[in-house]
Amino acid sequence: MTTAAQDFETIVRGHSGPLWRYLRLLGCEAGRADDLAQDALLTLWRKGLTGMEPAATQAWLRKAARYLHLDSMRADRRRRETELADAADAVFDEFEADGGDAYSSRLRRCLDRLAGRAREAMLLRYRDEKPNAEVARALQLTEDGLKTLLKRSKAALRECVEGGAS
Amino acid sequence: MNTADLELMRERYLDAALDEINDRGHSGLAARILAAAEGGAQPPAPVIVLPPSRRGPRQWLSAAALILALGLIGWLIVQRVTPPPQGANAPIAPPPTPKDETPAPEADEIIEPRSLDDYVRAYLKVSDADKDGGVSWEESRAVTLRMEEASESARTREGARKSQILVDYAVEAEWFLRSDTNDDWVLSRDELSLAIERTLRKPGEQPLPDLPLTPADARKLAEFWVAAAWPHLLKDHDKDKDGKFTEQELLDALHPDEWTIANGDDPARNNPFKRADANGDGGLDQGEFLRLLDAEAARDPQALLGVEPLQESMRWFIRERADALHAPQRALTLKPGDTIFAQELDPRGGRKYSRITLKRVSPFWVEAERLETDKDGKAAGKPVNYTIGGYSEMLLKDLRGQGLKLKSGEVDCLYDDEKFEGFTRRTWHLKDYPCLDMRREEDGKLVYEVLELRVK
Repeated sequence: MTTAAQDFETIVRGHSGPLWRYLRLLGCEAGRADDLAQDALLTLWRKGLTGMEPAATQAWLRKAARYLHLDSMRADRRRRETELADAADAVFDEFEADGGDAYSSRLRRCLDRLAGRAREAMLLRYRDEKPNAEVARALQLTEDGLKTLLKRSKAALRECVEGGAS
Repeated sequence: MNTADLELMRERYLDAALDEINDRGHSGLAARILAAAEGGAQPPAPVIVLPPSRRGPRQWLSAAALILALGLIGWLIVQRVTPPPQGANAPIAPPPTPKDETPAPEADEIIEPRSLDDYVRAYLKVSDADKDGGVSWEESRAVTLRMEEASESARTREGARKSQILVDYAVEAEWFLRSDTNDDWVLSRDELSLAIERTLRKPGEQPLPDLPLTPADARKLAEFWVAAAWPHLLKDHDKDKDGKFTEQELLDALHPDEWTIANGDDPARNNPFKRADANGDGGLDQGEFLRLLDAEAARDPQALLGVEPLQESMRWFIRERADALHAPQRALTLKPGDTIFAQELDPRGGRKYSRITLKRVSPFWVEAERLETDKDGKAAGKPVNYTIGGYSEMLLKDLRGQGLKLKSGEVDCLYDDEKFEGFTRRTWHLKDYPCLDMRREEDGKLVYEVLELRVK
């Protein structure tokens, strides 16, 4: 084993634990912390930085781990945004084939058929653009109660609209 | 692509569409972009007509008007009109007993409204008992009473029914008073047209502004409010059960939030409660309570500020009470394939029995098969297919939209939207189910029935 290899083994044994815990502190899952700690240490090896003082090695590894973590977060976010954009495209194609007219028309019909407080809450909130607090007060509900009512009403509206109310 | 993402996008699309329902969504954005492109100034924001109070009386009135006008008209047009009952114990100046005065229109005279004028004619036809071309308050109340009597089987408690009538009168009174623009206590054809027009909005249309209440209207309305609300207020909020309201009990009951502010720097002078408490005993009886709502008596402008929020609170109290009284006593959720046993109260006397089997449930209507039976549920005739749903006009359109050929006799308007919830789980959720209004064609004539449903 070369000196560099011996140094690297020493570094791995001495720093992988603290590095893993640091990554966990940054919010990584255990498996992700394993991966990123390994990447950081291998990068140090590839760059030939095994001869640094322990304190300098620790500082370098921390910076590397931090960078790798942020980079992986960005990659995850990009991947997630791409997935969401694909879903948005699919839904957009589905509802906007006619410029959204049919959906809008169904929505108005469904709103018109919504009954009681559900209808009133939706109209106050969306047609009249009243803030939640005001709508809740008008309907004598708590704001949490209003949120639940709006959520249920929207679920009913979605089912009605997407069910193709004529 | 996973389902959760698609669901999320569908929710977002609905949110975007909802943000556009008031036409202040992307259309405003487009206008601004175009104005900027043309180098013009940004167009002014759309004018939003806010109701005079933050509690939104316009919404309240819309709901009330809907109950009164569309509900009334909807009920009337599907009714084979029966003479109103005698001996009604109406607590406010008992309405006439027009059994002998109101000719019952023939079943084939029923008008299917298609336009505002149709609605006005339909309303006049069933309400204008003396055929003078207008609807007096007494005639209007007589119709309301008939509605109540017709749905009596739905009222399981006698006390609730009496309260129901009082509260419905109070709701109706506001509609009547606003509609009666010349204060002659008769709704002319023109006044009816103006009033009913306000209840017939197409989806997406902005509501027309409410007709105003004159000071005289407000004073009269207060009498209805107090008559309707007093027993409920006492029952719910008279903590010491002395038949009077202390100021705190009243605040707890009606929450007139602005009252404190309106009392301002001189509570003794401006406090509506103290002004109404004629004998100064610290409690309001029913008569003093009426004084409390009398804006006319509050000559001091500062005191008027205290009356208005109180009146608004009363409005909401009545409205909430009306909702509560109309709320379902029981509910029954059915799904396709379920069968219910129906006991029909034939208005011509006697009872009939039938079995109704749900075949298909859509968000807005239900297809069912009805089979006449004997009282033990044994079949006694041929099955007849029924459609059950919202207002007949809407229902016809829905069904025709699905390619079904329909004659008016094939559609039976049994249920209004308030009582009908097919929305969420594709089940038929019956609220207030003991009473159903049903119309069907028999030997070329429309026959009206009332159903009492019991699960078998």
